Amino acid sequence: MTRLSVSICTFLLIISALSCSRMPESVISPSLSIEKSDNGFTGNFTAGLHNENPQRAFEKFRARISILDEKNSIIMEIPVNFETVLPFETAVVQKKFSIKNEKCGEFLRLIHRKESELTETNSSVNGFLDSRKVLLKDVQTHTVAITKLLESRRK
Amino acid sequence: MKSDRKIYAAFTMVFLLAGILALVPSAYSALCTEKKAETLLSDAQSTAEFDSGKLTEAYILLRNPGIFAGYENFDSEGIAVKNTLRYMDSKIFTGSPIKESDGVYVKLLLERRGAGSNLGIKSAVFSFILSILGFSAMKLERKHDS
Repeated sequence: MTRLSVSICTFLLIISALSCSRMPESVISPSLSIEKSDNGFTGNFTAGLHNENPQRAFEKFRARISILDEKNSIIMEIPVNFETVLPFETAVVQKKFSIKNEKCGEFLRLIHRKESELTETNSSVNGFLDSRKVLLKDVQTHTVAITKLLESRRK
Repeated sequence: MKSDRKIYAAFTMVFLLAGILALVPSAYSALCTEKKAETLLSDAQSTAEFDSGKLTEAYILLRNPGIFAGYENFDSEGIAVKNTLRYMDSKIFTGSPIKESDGVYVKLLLERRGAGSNLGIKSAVFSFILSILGFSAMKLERKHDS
């Protein structure tokens, strides 16, 4: 009986500890801009990661963002790496990358644009990505109470 | 007719317990935490030279909302709290200098915390009234039975 009570209490403690902090499940407003450069195309991916916990900060936040094409196969993966994300803060993920000429059409389709719009050098197009095609994976972080974090930073 | 005394007893106990659970942290918040934060806030601003350390200490003390202030619940009056938390957290975390004008943000949190403990105390009083009603009903039932 005692063992059962201890197990129930442990289970409840674990559940309450886990339910204390909410992890981000997706990115906010993923967008992509594509620019024609001298030697091909340059892409610039931007998205936000929001910490909606009022009392807990994320420390050593690591994850991967996968961008999917129309057939749901991964066309790009972006590593996410933040030292600290404070409560209610939106950390901005930004990644600049070069796109090969033959892959450009695929990226342009994601933002519903045509290659004909990128005729001149330095011309650019941008648009929001379908949030169902941008996945946040392998989130690894540990949460810390904001009061503890601020106390450690106090001079 | 079956006696309802057990139901009245359970009703009385549940609301008595709920009242105690609401009263203890709310009274502690009102009498200890808020008093301390208020003292730190006035100390920081009353001296000839502004003491940013005391203001920071008051902010950290109030950063924990207690059980009723609920910084995550953003009603129309409390929306400013979210912006205050984001601004002040970032300021202290990055080590930016805390200015005398930042005292308004600490005052805002103090008001919110005060409103929270007020709500807790009022909830406790309400629970105690219900508990007293339950107890009176139990007494009446006993009288009726005998």
